[in-house]
Amino acid sequence: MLTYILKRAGFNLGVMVVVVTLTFFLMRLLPGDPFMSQRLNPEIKENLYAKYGLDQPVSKQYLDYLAALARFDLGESLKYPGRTVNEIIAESFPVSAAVGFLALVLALVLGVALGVLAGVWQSRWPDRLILACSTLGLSIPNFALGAGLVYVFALKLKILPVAMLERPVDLVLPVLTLAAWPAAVITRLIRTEMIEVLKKDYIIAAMVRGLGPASVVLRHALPNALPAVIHYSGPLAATLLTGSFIVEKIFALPGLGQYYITSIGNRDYNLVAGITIFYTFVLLISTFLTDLLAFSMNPQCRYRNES
Amino acid sequence: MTKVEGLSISIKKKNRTYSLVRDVCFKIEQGQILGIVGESGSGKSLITSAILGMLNHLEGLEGSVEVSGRNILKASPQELRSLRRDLIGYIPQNPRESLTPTLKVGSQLVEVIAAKTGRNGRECRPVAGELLQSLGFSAPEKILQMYPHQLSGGMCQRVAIAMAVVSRPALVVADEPTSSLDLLIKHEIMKVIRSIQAKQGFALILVTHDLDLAFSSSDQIAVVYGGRLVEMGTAEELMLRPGHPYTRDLVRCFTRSGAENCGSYYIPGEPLSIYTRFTGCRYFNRCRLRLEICETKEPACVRLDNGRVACWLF
Amino acid sequence: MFYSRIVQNRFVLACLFLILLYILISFGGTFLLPHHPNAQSLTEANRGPSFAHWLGTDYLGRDLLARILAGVRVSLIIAFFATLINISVGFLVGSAAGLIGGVVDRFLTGLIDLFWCVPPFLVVVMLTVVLEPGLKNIFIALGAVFWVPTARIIRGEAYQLRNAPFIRLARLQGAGYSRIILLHILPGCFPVLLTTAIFSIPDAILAEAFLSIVGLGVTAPDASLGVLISDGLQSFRVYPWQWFFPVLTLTMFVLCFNLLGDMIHRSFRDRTKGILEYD
Repeated sequence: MLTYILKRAGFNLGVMVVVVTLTFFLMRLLPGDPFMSQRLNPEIKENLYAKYGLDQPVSKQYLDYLAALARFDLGESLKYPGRTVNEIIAESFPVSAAVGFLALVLALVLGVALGVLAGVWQSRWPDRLILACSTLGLSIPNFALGAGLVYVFALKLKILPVAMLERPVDLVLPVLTLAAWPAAVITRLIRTEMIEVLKKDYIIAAMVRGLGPASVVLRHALPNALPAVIHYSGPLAATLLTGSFIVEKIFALPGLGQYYITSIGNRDYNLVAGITIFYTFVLLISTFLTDLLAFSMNPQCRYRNES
Repeated sequence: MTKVEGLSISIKKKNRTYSLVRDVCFKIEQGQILGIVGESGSGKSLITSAILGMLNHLEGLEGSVEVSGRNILKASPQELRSLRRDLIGYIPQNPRESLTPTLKVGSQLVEVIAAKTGRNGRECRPVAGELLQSLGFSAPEKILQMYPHQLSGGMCQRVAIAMAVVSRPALVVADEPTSSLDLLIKHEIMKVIRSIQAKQGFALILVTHDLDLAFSSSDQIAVVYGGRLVEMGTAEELMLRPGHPYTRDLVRCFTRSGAENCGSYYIPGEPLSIYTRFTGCRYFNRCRLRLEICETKEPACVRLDNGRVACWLF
Repeated sequence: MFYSRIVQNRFVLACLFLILLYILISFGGTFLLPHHPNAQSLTEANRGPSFAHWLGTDYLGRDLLARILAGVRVSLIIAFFATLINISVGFLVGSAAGLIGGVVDRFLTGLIDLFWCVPPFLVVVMLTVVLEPGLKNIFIALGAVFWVPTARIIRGEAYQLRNAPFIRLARLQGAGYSRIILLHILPGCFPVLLTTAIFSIPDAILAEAFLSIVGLGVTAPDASLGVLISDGLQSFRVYPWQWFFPVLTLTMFVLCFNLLGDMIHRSFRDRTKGILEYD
């Protein structure tokens, strides 16, 4: 177990280094520079460059960056003077995470419930209905869904509010928009797994032994169908928690996703790199945690064969 | 008493009906062992599935399976559940696969005991321990805490047997209970099953392709071929005076193989596929004693002194 | 054999028909329409659906129908080539890793895992920004990310196949790896590849749409569906049709492909069913 964790941690660290390096150099390959949108006097530009260390050779910049990274210092934003990247992330991440977390929970609960129903009633009307809904959920892109929901519920029917993060009810629409696609994927995933599991010998044996269908499905079948979903929810959690640019744009949420895209456009090297690193970090952690979860849920991994 | 009458199973594909099992009838008294023998694809698994109520949803299911007077085939899902709990026990072919891998053995056993005896979980724990002890486990507490993959095949099978007999059923169906076990364990398990049967007195249906096992353990043997019960009689009768050509060929392989491992059939040819339309006896293409009439008409069941045979030779 | 089953299903036929219709119209139809997708006419700007402009016009007076058709064309091209890169790179890497094993496998799997961990969105965005904006580079960027899951799946298949008797026989007879891959593994993986390809097309279209919305898509005046949707988003509260029609087109397109992929996937799976199983 311990060796597994260590190997995994080592691998993750390696990935982080690669990602950092890639981001660093890719950003500097981009045409334009951080200050191109402002009309600046060449002297001022030189000063700015010196201030942010951009006049140094790239390799030195890289090493300096790595050194700062070791101190968890992601530097200052080039576009928003005076604010460090850490600050910006600390401010905007909770917003994205709140919406993302709710969406994750919704997608998981809805997806698993519908998927189990579809798998149990395979080929009958609940299954067909659920499959149809999930295909729809997969096909409607979230920008379409988001705007559509806003149009219908906020503008026309005036039931739900559009934006502004003031009251909890504001979160309903963005969470729904964000959760639709993952819910559809999870539904299908669980459905497929349930169908496979329900054919297995132990399920048939359980039924023949007189156990009730509810118990068979929930206690015997479901735990065996879940691993695939657990593995999927690792990357899913990371994607949702770090925010979706589109959803944030449509609902005017000051989240991480928005900052990310705008900072690429602004050539704000530090912010882009910082958010990228943060995102990779979240991804690696959540994948690691979900893999551990799946691992611990599997009795065959926990107990070595003792026969 | 268990009575099977007129059991027929057919399926429809693209507007054509294919018959998988035709008109199977037999009776078993309490305390008796009926061995059902046949090669793979002969329909014996289907017969077992039907008896267990697993095919009730099929349109092409006809006939009746009566256990202690209750018809399994006509039971509604709720009735079926109660019938399965009270009247039937099941010993599966692949014991380790028949236990849910994610639950502890004890938990599963307790659940089955609770379902079958109607008591709640906590009361059933000691019952589970006692049950395992009576099946030969020396340290039941340890076993209850383990997961199926930690137990050997023989141990899993004994757990399965425990689950099958806890409610003192009227009928126990053992579907190839020893085919996935080692040679030594095979005998042990059969011993266990028979000793419990002696104590509880249920009727036992033993489905197997292992002739050695069938002939040594069963009181009566039913030979299945091509979806039909081609012969039925006491084990002794069939061994010494087999009637149906297929039975004769089987016994010949069996006794000839003798010391070697039984189970390899040297009957030339292959059984007819279910999709083949053929109105005569389904053993026709491999039968050494065939008559002309065998090609066109399927023989009816003929009663003999100690059994039945479906062959034109009688 | 299973092809006939696919074609017999009316639903699938409808989807296929619709897709073909789209393709035909978008590639050929622009000649038939009176309006050129890029023809601006400020006097006609922001008009709703009318007889002259069936789907209305956008803020520069361009006919929306023509724009949508042109957009479908662009999206299709991008999706097609991205999918092509996806399955070819994915298949080659996956089958090489699974079949050859050893150091090659470790290296390639390490590569796959690396790409798997790096947020794909990141790679795509970076690539599209680094390479010059343009049609070709978009599908290169998309392909560069899409191949990873495919490679994983194919590697799994190849790994299982490598111990199969017929592969071992071929190796014993001295067949080179490339021959084995092409002649033996490729046919075996065909169902998986086909399903992956069919699902990859809508994924690519959606990804491209996302890129456009973010501002990294095709450059003006060319349009893809994503660009149209993005433009439509700006003004959809006032002129909803500018957003609605592109979105409708996109969704129907993606829906058709998803349904098609579903059916094909099921028909491949159905080949191995037993007699008594449910549908």
